Amino acid sequence: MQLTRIRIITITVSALLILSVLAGMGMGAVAIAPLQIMAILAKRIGFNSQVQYTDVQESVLMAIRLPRVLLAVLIGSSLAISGAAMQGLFRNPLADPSLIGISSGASFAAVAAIVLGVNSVTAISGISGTYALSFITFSGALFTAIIVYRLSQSGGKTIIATMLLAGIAINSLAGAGTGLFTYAANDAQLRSITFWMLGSLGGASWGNVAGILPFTLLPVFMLPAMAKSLNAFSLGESNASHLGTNTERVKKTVVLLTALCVGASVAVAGVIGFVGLVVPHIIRLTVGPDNRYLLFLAPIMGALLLVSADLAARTLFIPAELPIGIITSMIGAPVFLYMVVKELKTQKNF
Amino acid sequence: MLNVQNINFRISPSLVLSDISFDVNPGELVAILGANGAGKSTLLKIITGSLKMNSGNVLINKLPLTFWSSKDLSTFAAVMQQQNQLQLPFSVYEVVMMGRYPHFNRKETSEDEMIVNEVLVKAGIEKLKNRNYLTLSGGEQQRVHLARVLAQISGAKKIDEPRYLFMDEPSNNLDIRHQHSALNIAKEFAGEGNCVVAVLHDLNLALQYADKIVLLKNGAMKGFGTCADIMTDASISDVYDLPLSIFYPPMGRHAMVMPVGNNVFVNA
Repeated sequence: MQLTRIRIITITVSALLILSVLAGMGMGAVAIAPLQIMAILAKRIGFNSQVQYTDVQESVLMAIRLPRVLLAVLIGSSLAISGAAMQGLFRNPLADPSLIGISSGASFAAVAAIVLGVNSVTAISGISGTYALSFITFSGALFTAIIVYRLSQSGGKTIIATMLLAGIAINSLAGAGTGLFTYAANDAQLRSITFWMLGSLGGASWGNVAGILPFTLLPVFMLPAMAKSLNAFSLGESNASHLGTNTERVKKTVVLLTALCVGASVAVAGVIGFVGLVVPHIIRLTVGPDNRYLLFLAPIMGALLLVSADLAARTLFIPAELPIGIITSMIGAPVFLYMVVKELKTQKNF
Repeated sequence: MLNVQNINFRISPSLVLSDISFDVNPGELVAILGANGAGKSTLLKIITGSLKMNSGNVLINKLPLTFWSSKDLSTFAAVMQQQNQLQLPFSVYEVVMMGRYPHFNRKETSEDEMIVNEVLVKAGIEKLKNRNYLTLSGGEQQRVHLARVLAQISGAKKIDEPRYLFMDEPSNNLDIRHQHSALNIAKEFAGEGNCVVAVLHDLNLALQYADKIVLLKNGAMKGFGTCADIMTDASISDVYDLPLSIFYPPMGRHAMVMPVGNNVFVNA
């Protein structure tokens, strides 16, 4: 019964993802019908069809919409799966890369790089420039991840309260650092800094799709293999080890892959919070906490959430465009509050 | 078999294990007894590889503990810990199935499902199968973990060597019926040619179920042997700093321990 249910959910979510991708490519100032989208894409791989479309439609799709939707898919799926894996690692459904400071560490590194090394970063253009900034934000993300993880360890156990408090401290420390650099920034730098802080897929290009491709695909393909180990982790680290899990390897892989995709996502789209929190939570509500299903469904639903959120960001207040980070936070914060209250109730009852 | 040879361990000036040696033969249930803070759980953590000893040897099937990877070990040795930290709403069935993780790759087989159903019955929790683990009482949760470790070391043997069950205070939170049921299960498991090591608090349970006993006091071994050999009024009174006496009730089949004398704490 459980399996039938998971199959139905998988099919539904996948169908919704395809719909949202078509909408994301078709909706906007220049409308493109689904058939026209198919025809344009088909032509690229050598099939000519009878469907009529204009040159403007073709260039809007190929140069703007398609890379943007792909970016949303890559970032959404990797943020969702790394959030789910983090929660498995920390044995707590409230862990999230943005909540424990990884994202703000990454954005601090990005802002510092913009203000301090704007010349050297922009001098390297195209893919290599994206890789350079990815590398810097990735280092910031990894560094914060390691600090928070170390601080929350005591006697072989991860102390969740310490982790969240350490995350708050790191968040505000990184915020202070970011503020300092913002203060020192000139007008041009300020504009790009605002972009990092609020998150936006507006800068999408084939260059940054290619740039983040390896960093976001790695978690999506590697983390599902850790599902059983992460289930065992929920019993505590030493129990996991007695169940044959190589606990050190799991910890390092999850922290590294999370820092990798968060760093890369922040580099091209700024801080997009709560995706890694909301998506796994919804999945747990529907199919339970088993990571074997969670890590399989999370990337699909994460992609769906971000493609839809970006569509909303682009189309809600045409011609103005909302930063996507605002939308995900507006969905995410209430869900997070609900979870905190619910956890409090669970503790009272049992 | 399990050989513990001259273990020394020092974590702080107040917690030192010195020169501890004992053997567990296939078929034996060995109990570790001692007062609070004597180092029982620490000793068990060293034997199961969670803590690294400063010197000494632990041999499992005649090979040193460091020879075994946790993956190998997990297929024939299970550890039931005192504390469990599960905070996610797994069902009882899912938690017990985790015990089978060392035995399958991605998906459980029908054999794994059969074993899980068997141990659920054995631990008396088959009715709780689909319940959310987080909504269970402490004693029920303890039985879920008993079932989980049993699932881990049940099923067909791949090699003809004993299996191992390590338990840290398995009777915690359990009522008297389930205390005896848990120890009976452990005893039966040992009887199938396996080794069981259990840290116990209840001296009466130890007298009833243990084949041999390790007596610990302040991290030092005060004795190792069969109940008849080492459980004397003098030895246990010394270990627990309390005048204790072993009685042989006329109707019972087992000895039992009681404090003797009045106002034992007045001059303590």
